Amino acid sequence: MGRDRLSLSSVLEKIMSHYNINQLYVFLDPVALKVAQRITLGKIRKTYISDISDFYYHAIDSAEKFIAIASLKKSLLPEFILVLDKLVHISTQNGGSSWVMVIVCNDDRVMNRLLKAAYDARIPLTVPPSLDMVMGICSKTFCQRPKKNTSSFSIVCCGPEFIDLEVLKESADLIAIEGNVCEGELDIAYGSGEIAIVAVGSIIDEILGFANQENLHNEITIYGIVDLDVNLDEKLLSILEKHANILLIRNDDIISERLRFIAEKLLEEGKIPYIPNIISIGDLVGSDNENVKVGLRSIIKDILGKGLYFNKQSIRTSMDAGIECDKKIVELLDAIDKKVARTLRIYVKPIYGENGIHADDFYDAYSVTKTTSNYNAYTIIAHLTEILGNIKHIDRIIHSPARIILIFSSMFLTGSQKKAILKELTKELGKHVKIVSYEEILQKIDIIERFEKIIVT
Amino acid sequence: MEFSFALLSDDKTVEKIKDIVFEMAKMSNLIIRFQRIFLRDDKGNGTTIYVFKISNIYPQLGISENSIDYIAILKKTSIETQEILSKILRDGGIIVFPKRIVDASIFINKAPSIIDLGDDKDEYDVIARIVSDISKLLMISRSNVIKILRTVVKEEDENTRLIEAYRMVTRR
Repeated sequence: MGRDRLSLSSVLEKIMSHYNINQLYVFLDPVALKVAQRITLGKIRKTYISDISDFYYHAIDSAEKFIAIASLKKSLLPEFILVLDKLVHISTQNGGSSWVMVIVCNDDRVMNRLLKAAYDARIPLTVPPSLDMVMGICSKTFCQRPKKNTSSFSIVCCGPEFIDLEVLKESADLIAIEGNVCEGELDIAYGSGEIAIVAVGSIIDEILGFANQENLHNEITIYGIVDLDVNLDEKLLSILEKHANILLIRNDDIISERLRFIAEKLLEEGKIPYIPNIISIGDLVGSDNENVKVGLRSIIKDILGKGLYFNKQSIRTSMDAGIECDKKIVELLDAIDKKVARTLRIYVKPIYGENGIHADDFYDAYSVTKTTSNYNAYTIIAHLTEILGNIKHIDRIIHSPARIILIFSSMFLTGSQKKAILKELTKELGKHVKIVSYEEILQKIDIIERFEKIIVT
Repeated sequence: MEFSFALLSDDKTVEKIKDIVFEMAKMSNLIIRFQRIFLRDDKGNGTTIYVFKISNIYPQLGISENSIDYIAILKKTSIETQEILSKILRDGGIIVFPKRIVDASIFINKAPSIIDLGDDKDEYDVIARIVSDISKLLMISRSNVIKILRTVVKEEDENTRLIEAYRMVTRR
């Protein structure tokens, strides 16, 4: 068997090729565009979606199988839940084509909120621990024959670490995967130890790998929840009936919340003879979620009495979805710094860069310009697609008294998409600001001094 | 065995290096994992690095202090960023950069091997150096590396420049 490069894009491409799916919906967001850009199979038709409600109409009208790639930010969560709820209802009641929606969460907090909100709204989600499982979930959806008046669908919630992750592994055999996943559950239960570790997402893969390497299958049992649906409570109940010692990764996720609730209920009803010992690893070592992920191996070893964990990290790491500023933006930022003293750089996520602060969205960027006063100018760097739906907030930023330079990156956008978005921008804000190109401003850097408000595209 | 190396560069260059390194790992029958990680210190300064982990078993997720064996810096960075990078470098690790863009004194407590490629060297020379170092680690012959460079780097000018730089680096 050969070896393959696996990434989220290559997995989706493989699925589309194997199941003859031609339609790919891509949300106009840099993260989703980044994933979609690497899907290059000729027969795939990419349709770009400006927002979730736009997707709703496309999904309802679609008569053929499709895959959608969306990226989720905190501010979009309520709208997503509302539309997904409707879509799930229609797909289960009225039928239609089979579909998979891959939601890439921009950070762990967003993912946590999505899982909670989806559980409350009874929206079935699948959270893959690895890229192989993404393949398994898609395969399960498309290999099933839809029952009368229903359609098979999956909403795959991927953590931020999946976006840039790429691994070289034994190539996946889709026919074998199909045979394994077509009937039955996707959830993982590994080991026979007394201590149970219950987790969701990529952390399961990490723990499984570690348990295999260290031969811990007699000491711990790993429960990886992949299907987060109405049966979640039942799954957790069976874990509580089997284990008195349960380790969780974090204290504030849906698993922790439900597990504690069910444990209390079982105790009240006298169905278990012991008080279950439910501990969150994050609380135990007094560390945040990211550091728990990084130090997980030594933390578990410490708990099992096989080593010591030193929590002395002076750096913090995160695998949040992000796009690095390209060379021309960095060049321009350096030129601005030389021209204007005391400039504050504000990067609107998912754009990342150096020597500045990172704002979640334009609201956040606006509040920074309002609450800080000791800067001569504010340079706000964002992706061009952020303009869609944010014109009002950009307008507010532009009308603030400070000197504002807005730099938009057009990475992953085609020429026509860029043109269309720029047209919108010029129509709405063209009267109040000077809109220039990178080449123009780099040639005539004095523009910065002559104009108070500048937009660079 | 787990070898991890970090790259500080723009997306385009990283893609190029990634393609080459993945081909080399494929040839040597090892598992490789590539991740993008955002690092920040207590003061809030941050930077994005790209991490490759090569191992015969499935490599560990994420990075921590003293965990990177090799750091290649291909773009100008601030002193704060270099301080963050010095924390993730393993004791006795390797650091590669062109045109004296790094203040080596920041890394001194890690006693690293510092490879300053000099003023006349550019991005291609650094890529060639990285490729040469990894090929030695994975025991891939010079001729095979040249074959990989020929097939992976599609653009003719880039291809010629990179192979030329690799030949210079590995000249006996």
